[in-house]
Amino acid sequence: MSFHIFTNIGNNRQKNEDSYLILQPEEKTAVLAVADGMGGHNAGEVASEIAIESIRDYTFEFDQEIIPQIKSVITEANQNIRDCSQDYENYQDMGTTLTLGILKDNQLYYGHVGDSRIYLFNGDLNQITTDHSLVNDLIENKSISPDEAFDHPKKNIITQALGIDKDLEIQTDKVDISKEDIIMLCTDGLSDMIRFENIQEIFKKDQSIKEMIEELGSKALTNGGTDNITIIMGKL
Amino acid sequence: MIGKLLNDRYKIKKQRGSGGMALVYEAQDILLDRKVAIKMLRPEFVSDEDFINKFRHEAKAVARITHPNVVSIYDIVESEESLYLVMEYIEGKDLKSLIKKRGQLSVVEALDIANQVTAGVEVAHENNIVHCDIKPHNILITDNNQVKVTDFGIARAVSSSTMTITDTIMGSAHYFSPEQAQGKEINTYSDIYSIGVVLYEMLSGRVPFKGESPISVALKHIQKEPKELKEVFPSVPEEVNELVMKTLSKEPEDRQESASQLREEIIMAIKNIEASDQFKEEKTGEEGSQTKILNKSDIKKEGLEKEKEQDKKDNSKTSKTDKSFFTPEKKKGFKLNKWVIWALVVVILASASVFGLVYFFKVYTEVPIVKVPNLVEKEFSEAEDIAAQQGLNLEKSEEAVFHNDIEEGYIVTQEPKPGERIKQTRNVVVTVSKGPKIVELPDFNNRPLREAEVILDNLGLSLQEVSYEYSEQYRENYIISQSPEPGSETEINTQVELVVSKGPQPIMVTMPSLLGVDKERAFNLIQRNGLKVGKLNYGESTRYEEGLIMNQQYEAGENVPENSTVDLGISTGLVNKGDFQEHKTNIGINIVGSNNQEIKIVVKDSNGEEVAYQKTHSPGEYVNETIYSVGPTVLEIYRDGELIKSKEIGA
Repeated sequence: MSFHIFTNIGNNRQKNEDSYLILQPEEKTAVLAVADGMGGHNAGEVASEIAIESIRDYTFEFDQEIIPQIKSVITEANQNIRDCSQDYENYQDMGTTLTLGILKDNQLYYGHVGDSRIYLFNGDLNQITTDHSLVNDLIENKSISPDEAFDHPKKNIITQALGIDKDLEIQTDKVDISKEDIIMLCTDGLSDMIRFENIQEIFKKDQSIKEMIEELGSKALTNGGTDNITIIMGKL
Repeated sequence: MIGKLLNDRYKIKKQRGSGGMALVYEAQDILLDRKVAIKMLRPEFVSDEDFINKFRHEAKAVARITHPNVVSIYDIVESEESLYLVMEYIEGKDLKSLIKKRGQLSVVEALDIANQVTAGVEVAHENNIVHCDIKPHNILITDNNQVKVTDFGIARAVSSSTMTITDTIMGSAHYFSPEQAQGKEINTYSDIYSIGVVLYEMLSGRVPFKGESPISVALKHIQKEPKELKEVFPSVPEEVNELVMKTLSKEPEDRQESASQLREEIIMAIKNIEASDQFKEEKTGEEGSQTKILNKSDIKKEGLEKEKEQDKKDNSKTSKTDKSFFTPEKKKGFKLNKWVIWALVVVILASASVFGLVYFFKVYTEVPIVKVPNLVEKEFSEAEDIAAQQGLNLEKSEEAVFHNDIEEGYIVTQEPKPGERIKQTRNVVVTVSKGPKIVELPDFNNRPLREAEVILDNLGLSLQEVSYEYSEQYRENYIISQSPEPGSETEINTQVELVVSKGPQPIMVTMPSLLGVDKERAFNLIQRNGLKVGKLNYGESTRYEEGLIMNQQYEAGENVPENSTVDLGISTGLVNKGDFQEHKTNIGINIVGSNNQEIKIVVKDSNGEEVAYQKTHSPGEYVNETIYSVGPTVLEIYRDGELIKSKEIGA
């Protein structure tokens, strides 16, 4: 297993509110996560960090069913953020996206809230997670096309985030992966800056993962880099 | 089962009882730190869908009810191999054992219990739940004389109109309603009948129908008229006799209309007789009964032949007595005139005054009824004084009992209970404590710790301290020694200390330095040193470039048991807050002279100031370090605290 990370504050922001996690708790098992914090009185990075630390502190039992554990760790993270924002005035209304992937035995298990994403490249690029966002709702009820969505002025509005509501609708599932597949987790700092086709083009080039992630990161920056950018890429 | 921790939460303490479907345990909820009762479906039924559904139904039905006379259900837990209910723990006893102990109860006491049972059943009926299995085993009485109905084992919602019991009839036959015994539709009126049976038994010390088998009893419920309560218990007030016999009507429509009507009648009866509780107590043996499962067909076929004969005998007896009591006499009518009326008035008045005199006589010559004071936890002679104030005498029960909290010579239980009304001539029987139980400590040598914990817990002893030692002789987690010694007599509260083996002393190995080493080489070094790679934690580093070890769980040079796992932090790249240039600088220092020297390298860059290297070297050694930094950097090299070189990079 090998992993690479790209994280950058971007061109316009004062702070990097993204947090990430790459953990190999045991052989042939990896826990990957990205979180994109927001809101509060400059407390976005607090929310995303609590989300990531909640995962780091969680005792996974990898020989048990994974998905229920994913649900419970995300629920726990949500509660931790809510507790913290109740305790400190500065942290009111802070929230974060959270996208968590667990690689084990040729499976990718994932849990997801918000508009960060997991992509799987197996010759073609596929977005595995579904954005909890206003524009995605518009795409799904066919009000706009995916292409229109990319330029939509309200594309930063998300319909679900950790730390806001008690009840969450956590998207969970698992997918089979093979040795050659590349897994990518990213925040919208990447996916809002580069169109899907262009991301796919970079994946299809004959280059190492390290070169790929560098190219994706610097392209997001040259395309504007209006938001923090965090990318994790890895292989089984 | 005992000592087991269910659902990571309920620690089983002991078995409390068993029924046809389930076993009942006392357990500790370690999460909420309270005692609970666990009702566990018998293992043989866990695979039986029909039973599981009934069991689940019990939970749902009762969970809907919150009432002081109904045992609360807290939780239902289903796992692959077991299914159980977590219920309110009741400190007390069941009505069955009370009746067994006392033979029969006083009229007021019996009516009070029936009143509380009916209150619980009433609220169940309001929620469309029929209990279907009312019997003294299912009626619990707390130490505060609160009555709680439990085990809605085969309760069904009345709203589901198909109420016919299919293959098996559950419950104890003594308390079956006729319709239940026949396998017909059962409803709220069936519970009224069963309450009547319980009341009959409390008052007379016997159930209305007895038989050799559950089948014969069930048959009698269907076919035979019960003996009037006043026949077996002549001093019962007529009002109570009527009330009970009405509940035992064969036809549901002849019984009290509802639980609430039954309650009204009971309350009225209590009011009417409260002042004159004057009934004798007589003891009768009682056959205990577990819930049994009968087949409907059993009742129809097996029982019939044998029972017919017996019934004939019984019937002939009862019919004789019936005649002598109930054959109506014909009365001749006669005309009344004024004088006759006046004469009658005089006679009535006269007899009324005689009756009043008799009543007066009775009240003032009879032994007074007094309320029993609370004597529990009082010293015996003090209790005697308290009882004497009510004119009551104490009697020590034959056997004293062990008690953890109540000192020797103090009272543990009393009979009758506090608050009960009894005749002054009756003795209050008290059970006195022998103090904490003395137990002989078992020999735990070479037994697993887990086993010892369970044994100690069962004996009521607690484990004070476990210390661990390396041992070549004892396996890991096996007990090496104990204090107090095996065989010593210890009070139940004594705390026990155990010394437990950690297994043979491990070989210690030295942790290598891995900082700044790349991942593959680090893994190699770990394995070569007899250690294992543990958790890998990836993150940005202020000091090491991507792929290098940035921290290690144990410091270099530390002694670590062989085969320990070592968690590592692996850099995903240098922290670069701006778009700074990253530098890699090699530093080489020869150690010269004749003394040991401490070499320190300090880095100041865009990530702040940091000691990147600090180690004492002997003469002749060579320091070779690669320093990574971000943005304009100053490197300072110190020898024994003295700055010997400063280097600026990327300024």
